[in-house]
Amino acid sequence: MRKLALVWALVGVFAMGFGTAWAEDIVIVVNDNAPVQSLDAREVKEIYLGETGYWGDQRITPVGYQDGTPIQGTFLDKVVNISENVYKTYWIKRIFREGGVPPTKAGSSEEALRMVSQSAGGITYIPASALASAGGVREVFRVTN
Amino acid sequence: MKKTIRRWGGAVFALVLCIGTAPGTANAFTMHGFGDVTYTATEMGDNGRDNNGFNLGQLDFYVAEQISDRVDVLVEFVIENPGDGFVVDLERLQVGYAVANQHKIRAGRFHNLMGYWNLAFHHGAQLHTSVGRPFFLEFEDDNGIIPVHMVGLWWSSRFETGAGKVDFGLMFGNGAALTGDAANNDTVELDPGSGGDSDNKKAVSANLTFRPSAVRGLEVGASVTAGTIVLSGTPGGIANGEIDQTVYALHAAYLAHNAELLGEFYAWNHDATMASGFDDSSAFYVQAGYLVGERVTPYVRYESLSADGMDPYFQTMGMTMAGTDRDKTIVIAGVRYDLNYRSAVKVEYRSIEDDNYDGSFTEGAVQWSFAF
Repeated sequence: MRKLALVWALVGVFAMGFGTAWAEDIVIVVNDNAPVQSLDAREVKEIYLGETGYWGDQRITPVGYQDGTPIQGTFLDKVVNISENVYKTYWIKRIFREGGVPPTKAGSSEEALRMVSQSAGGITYIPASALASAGGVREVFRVTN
Repeated sequence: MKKTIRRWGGAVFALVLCIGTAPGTANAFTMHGFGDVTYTATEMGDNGRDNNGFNLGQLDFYVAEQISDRVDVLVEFVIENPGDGFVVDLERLQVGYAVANQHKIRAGRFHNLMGYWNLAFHHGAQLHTSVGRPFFLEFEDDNGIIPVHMVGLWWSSRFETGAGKVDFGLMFGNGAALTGDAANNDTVELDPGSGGDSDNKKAVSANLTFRPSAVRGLEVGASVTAGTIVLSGTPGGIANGEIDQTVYALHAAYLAHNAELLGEFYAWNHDATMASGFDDSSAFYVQAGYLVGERVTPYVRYESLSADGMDPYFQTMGMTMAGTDRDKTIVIAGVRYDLNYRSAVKVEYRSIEDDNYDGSFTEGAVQWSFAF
């Protein structure tokens, strides 16, 4: 019985990290001092594609996640409407063609929130469940799942 | 002048390597790049000697960095072998200032605002589906006939309209010169004037592209570059003088639903002080590819150049002989296999028709390209 439980636990850990579809809402948040009240999906997409770089005089500093994280895959699919591989290739081509820098990669939603709370132009996306404990940021758009 | 640029390129390259990639330092940045290894076999038949061999393509390094809220820089070097040993070329050096969200001014050396391929792919073999670029879009130091770089200022703007996105670019910079002497077996090449302008006459380039919202993945555009090409030192045996050059280009690109459709048309208009009575020359290519599954892309391309044999510009560059027009076409069929998004293997077959010059022959090529 203990072996069976261990196997199920391992399967669960594996599925959480690599295989499961994202199940909860994704919330797009910005720094509390960012000069925007709300965004729509197209505006968020333009930011993560590097097409929009400023809110007025404020430079936008988008934060994404390490490659292969489930929240990034879901965000790219639902908001940017491309796969992760296409997104990575897009940024290679864009940097080579125009210069600029891609979104910073965070290792976790906690790290992403910390980075955004420290930058007036910060924007990132987090699981809805992480919003309650987040400080220095506010929601500007929500992707329902 | 070229040697000077290469010396500076080598020095700056070494400096960048030293200060830029040291981990943990305040100024550390990420260096990106492209490279490829290509095997080519040429079968000339009765037209010449067969040839085959491996070739190290251009090893391209570039760094893009945001150094303040408004200012960004991009530096690009290429290590290549033009035939007499490896050299380091400073390909791009640009500093930009974002005037507003969609407006930017840059200074330095850039990819000239011509067509689609020159801006989208340039030295990145991994970026383009095929093994190489269309032959009439070769780089200046590969006997290219288009000024693919410019040194000066570059203004770019992007406008969001109800119908789609409009991009506008304007470059103002040094006029190109033709250097070398074909009569003495020296390579004649376009020099974009990285170290200064030999005649003080400036060149201008402009482009306009449109990406309609209604057709995702479509881009259409037009571009023009105009300047005075200075011929000195009797290159190619042509009398010294000046050629007022205007190159027009149209392009369309569709990249969506696993399809890649590219087409570009170029026209050269020359007004020379040392010759007259010649017509405009033109070139075009069309390329089609389709991604099957996630990794395999079969593709085809047709390239064509029609150059007037009396045009002193093409004569000087060794492209034509006096009085003999050049009509060259290349048909390409190939398959690209993506190992991942950063590496691909391509296999390509080419059939070349060049009646008055190299004749008809075939080539095969295999390339392993990568990005890092």
